[in-house]
Formats: sequence, C-alpha cells, structure tokens
Amino acid sequence: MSITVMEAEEQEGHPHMAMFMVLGHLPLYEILTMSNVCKSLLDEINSDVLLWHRLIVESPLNSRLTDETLLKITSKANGRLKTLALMNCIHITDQGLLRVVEQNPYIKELHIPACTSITPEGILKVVEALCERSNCLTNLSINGIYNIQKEHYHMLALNLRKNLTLEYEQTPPPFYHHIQFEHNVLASNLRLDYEEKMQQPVYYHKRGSVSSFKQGENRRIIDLEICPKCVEVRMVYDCPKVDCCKRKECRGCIFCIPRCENCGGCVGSDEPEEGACGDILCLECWLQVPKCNFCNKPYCMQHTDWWCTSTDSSLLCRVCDENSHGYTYTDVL
Amino acid sequence: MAQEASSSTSSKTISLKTGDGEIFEIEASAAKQMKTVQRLIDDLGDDITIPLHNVFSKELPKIIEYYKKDITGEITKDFEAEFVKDLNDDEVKVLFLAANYLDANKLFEFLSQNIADRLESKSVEYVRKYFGVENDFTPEEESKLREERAWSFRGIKEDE
Repeated sequence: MSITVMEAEEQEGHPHMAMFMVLGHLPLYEILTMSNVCKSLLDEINSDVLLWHRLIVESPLNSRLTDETLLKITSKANGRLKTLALMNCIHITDQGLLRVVEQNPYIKELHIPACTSITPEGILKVVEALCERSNCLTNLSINGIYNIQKEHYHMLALNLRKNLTLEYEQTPPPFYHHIQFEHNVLASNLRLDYEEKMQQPVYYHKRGSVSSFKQGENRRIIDLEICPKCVEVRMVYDCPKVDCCKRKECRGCIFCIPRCENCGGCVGSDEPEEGACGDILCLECWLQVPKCNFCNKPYCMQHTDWWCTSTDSSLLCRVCDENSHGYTYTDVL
Repeated sequence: MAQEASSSTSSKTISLKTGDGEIFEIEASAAKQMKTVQRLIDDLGDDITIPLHNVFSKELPKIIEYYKKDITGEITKDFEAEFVKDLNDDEVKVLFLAANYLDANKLFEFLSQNIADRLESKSVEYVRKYFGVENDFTPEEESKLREERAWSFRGIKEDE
C-alpha cells in the first residue's frame, strides 16, 4: 500500500481519519460492510447520527428490506431523517413508509421509485404528512409505482404547492422580496433552486435507473409529469437535439415520442434502428457505433459490455455468438 | 513577511515542492483552494517555494489539473468522470489522501464520492486491504455482528 500520505501519527492497521468522510457517501449495504471492517469504523458508524440523516437502500438490499428493518434503521436518525431513497424496495408497504414518516417529519427528499408494494394512496398520505410544515418535502421520486392516476398526481402537486418553494411559481416578484426579508438567504437560494429545477431539462439517455440512486443531482420537485401528448402520468423527456424542429414541443413520454438510447433525441417513426439489445437508436448514433459482424446490429451505450469477440477477433453480438456455436467446422467449409 | 491584502492577484504563481523534490507551479488563486497551502503561504510568504512533505510528484500534477479547471469554473460532471476514468482504486486513494492533507475541499468531496462509488458491492476483506485496516474483532464479536446483519444476507426467507 502506498505510504506517500500517511502521517507520522497514523497508527498501523487503523483507518485513516479521512476514510470516515467516505461513509457519508455510501448507501446502506456498503455502510454495513464498513461496520464489519474494524472496531473504530463500527463505533463511528453507530455513533455518528449525522450519517443516518440520509438513508439509501439499493441492490442487493432492496429485495431484503422489510418494514420492520426499515423502521429500525431509520430510528438511528433520531427523528431527523432528511433524505430517504428506497430504490425498488419491493417489500416496503404504505404502512411501513408512513410509520417512518411519522417518526421523521422533516424528510426533505423522498425517493421511492419502483417500490411496488406502495400505492398512490399511500404516497398521498405520506406527502400530506410531510407537507404539513412549510418548506419540508422538496423532492419526490415515484416513477415505477403502479397505478398513479392524474387525480393522484394533482393531489400530490397541490400538497407540494403548500411547500414554500412551490409558492414562488404563483407569487409575483414583490412577494419574493417580502419573503426574502423574512427568510434571507435561504429564500433567494430556494427561489433560484426552484426556477433552475423547473427549467432543468430531463433527457432520456441520462435517465439513470430505479436501481441506483444518483446523489447530488438537480432534480425536479416531482419526477413524473402529465405527458402533454397522451395526458397520462409518466416520465416526460425533453429533446436534446439542437435543431429539432419543434424543440419546446418535443416533450412527451417515451411511448409518445420514442427516443434514442445514446443521445436521447427523438426518433421519427421511419427512422428507428434497433440494436442487438432491442433498444433503439437514431440514425446518426447508429452510424457512429460499432456493429456486429454477422447481423450488423450495434449495442446501445448501456449494453456495450455485451459484445463478444469471434475467433477472428471481430465483434459479435451475443445472439450471433450463441448461434455461431451451433455451427460445426464442416458447415463453415 | 508582511502580506498585502491583494498580493495574491490572479496572475501570480506559487511554487510547490513535493516530498520527492520536484517543483510545480500553480496560480495563486488555485493555491487559495488548498487551505494547507494557503496557510503555508501566509506563514512563509508567497515568494518562497512551499514544501509539501506528504505529497509527491505522481499525484500533485493531477491535483493541479483539477484546480486549474476549477478557477475557470469549468468543472462539469463530464470533466470529473474523465478525471478519474483511468485511475485505479489505489491511485484514487492516494489522490484522496493528498487532497485531505492539502485541505482541498472540493476535490476531497468529489474523490470521497468516487471512492464510495468504487466500494459498491465490495467485500469486507477488500475494504480492509484497501484501507490498510486490520480486523480487531474477536470471533464472538464477529458472529454477533453477523447475527444482527442476518436480514441483509442472501438466502434469507423473504416474506411472500
């Protein structure tokens, strides 16, 4: 191990103090791993309440987390839980989530994508509870929850509007100044934040997944919107194409406006090129990426690790690679 | 040496000497971002080569590259991704500890996140080796910990 920056006072075999700073960036599974590494890390993890103000549960714990365990873990925050990210935590129920929220009423960010045991009614109860105080819930992610209807969405938006940041949407400038006097720097930061967030474009190719939580991102207040085309509650994407003919209007869910996996640009009905992975690419991106030597299909950016190499070092997609093993030597001849 | 309040103009450069004797130049405005360096400048003056015993010529150029971008306000997510793309886990750790020593907060925060990302799904043993930490749990303590963590292991019966 490099000793270039070990300070003289460092004890052999003990973690460098700087390592403790990494803890705050870790999701739950890795925090549990760290707590098994040595006593000082275990002590630090158990005693640092600030660490537990943010809880991120991803794979592989997402399928193992129960309501009971969730409650136990969130109790370490002593009521001050600020960010709760349950990514595809399929066993968490409405009741389980509500109990956590009742014990932690100051949650600012709630991310529960694809928590399929949670219902829209459950979310409403939780959001209502969190919005009882002003300036509380500022981010909500619910993509992947089943059966969210327009009525649910409107109720959610209504509740979040009671929240201070959303008030800025409707109040005229003089009121901003009034609020600024009351809330000083916080208010102007919130206003800028809010405006930035609502103008933030959302691109399909940068959508990430419901299985991992990307920290520190500028997010919208609610991840879902009402699709301007089909009027359903969905993820709505903007078009990154600079010369897209109707840029501002090229907004819609993925069912209404198919998009390229690599660049997020809209793909017209006569254009889509299918990759070997089944995802679609626009013509421009399709032209630029490597193709399978057999079927001439590419892989999209998310699946580039699926490439195989054939015996003559050329690129093969998995499908053709599997098929090629069915050929005998004599067939090739 | 008396320091003028505005002596660190943006065009002034500071000389830094690494632990292995090499000298690098950085702009005074970049040096401001590294609080350890700034403290040394305040103590020793900005005309003297600042000695950095715990930072070496392998990592300092990379740190300087980061702060060069920072003072022009050009640090983007893409730049940060590129910055660490070709570094292995040990190289990132060395940079991380150097940023800690230099009290270079922005770089330190970024590298903390990057190390956290690299630790994804790693085993307890890997983490011990990576951080150079010894296991000081007794077997009894370890089995107690395992019991408490039982819910998080594979193969636990999931309530259907």
